[in-house]
Amino acid sequence: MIKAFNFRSAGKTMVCITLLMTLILVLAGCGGGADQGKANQDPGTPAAGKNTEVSKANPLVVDKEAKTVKVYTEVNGKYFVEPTRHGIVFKDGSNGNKSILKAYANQNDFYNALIEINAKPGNNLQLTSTGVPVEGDKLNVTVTWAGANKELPFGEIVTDSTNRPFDIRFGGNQQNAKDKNTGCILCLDSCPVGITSNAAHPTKDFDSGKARFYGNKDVLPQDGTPVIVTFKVQ
Amino acid sequence: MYRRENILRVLYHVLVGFHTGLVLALLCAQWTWLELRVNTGMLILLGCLLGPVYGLRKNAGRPLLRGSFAVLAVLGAGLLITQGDVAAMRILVGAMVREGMFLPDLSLQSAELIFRGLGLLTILVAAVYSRAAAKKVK
Repeated sequence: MIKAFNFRSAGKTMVCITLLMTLILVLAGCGGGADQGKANQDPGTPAAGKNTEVSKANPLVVDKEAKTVKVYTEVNGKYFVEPTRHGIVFKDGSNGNKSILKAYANQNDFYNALIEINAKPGNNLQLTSTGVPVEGDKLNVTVTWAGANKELPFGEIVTDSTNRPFDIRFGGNQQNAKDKNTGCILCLDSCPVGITSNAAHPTKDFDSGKARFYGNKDVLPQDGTPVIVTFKVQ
Repeated sequence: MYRRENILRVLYHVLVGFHTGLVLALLCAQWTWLELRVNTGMLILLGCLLGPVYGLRKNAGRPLLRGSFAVLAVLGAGLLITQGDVAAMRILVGAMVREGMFLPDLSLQSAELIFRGLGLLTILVAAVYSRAAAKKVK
């Protein structure tokens, strides 16, 4: 048998309900979330200027002459407030929702694109490697989006708890990337699965708690905004 | 009348299960190792499924109090995790709802609106269910 409601009068109940609803509306409605107040852009619109050829429908563009690879991504606002070790991940990979930027190009095509611009993979990491920095050609990684009006270094859109400058390398790891299908394109510490990763932090730096990475909410646009990432061999 | 009460009862437990699952998901996501390997948002779906199973086996005492507590627990857990940062709490809850509902392309703002709507609905359903239960006792 269900017990009767314990408040003495219906009036008290109504007051409680009203107070609770007000609390929810106030807490959920105030604070002006980090993703507010910035340009509300059409997710299907590519970033302005010279990146117009990169789009959701054409998410990977290789320029052999300029030795660049451009990738269409979208911001995942969750990692403004939660730490992650994933910088850029293909949306349909097993880590597709675990990265600061969600890519629409898959990691295997991205690997082939870097090979096309004559980048040399390091392939020095094993799945069991601990404390080893990734090797391979150094890559200059920049980002832009509609309204940014310039190319920003990747290091400006990610905060690193240790404040080390990013050193992105073409790690390679083609077979691991295919086998694991995590979708990892850019890892924020050295990684035996990600196609590119950050040599400034050896393997397992994130797992051991030595470094924490967040999307920089003061620089990045709001959740879901298209961001074009450019990889260039240095 | 009996059928209406049963629908209310199931709906109430689904909603309370949703919020309980959301609290557990938010707490589990703080274990970064787990959060980066598993979709902790699945606990929301689990809560929605297990809530009515529990509710059909056991009668709920003080539904309004329990329902309100479940909603407040989400806000409390969110504020605790983000150390009182309301903007961060909104992002966190919205992201968890989005993952839990397996809608990765939903915007955080829409996910947060869903949470707000379900929170209000939970309290309303709990209030109606409380009244129906009280009438039955009388």
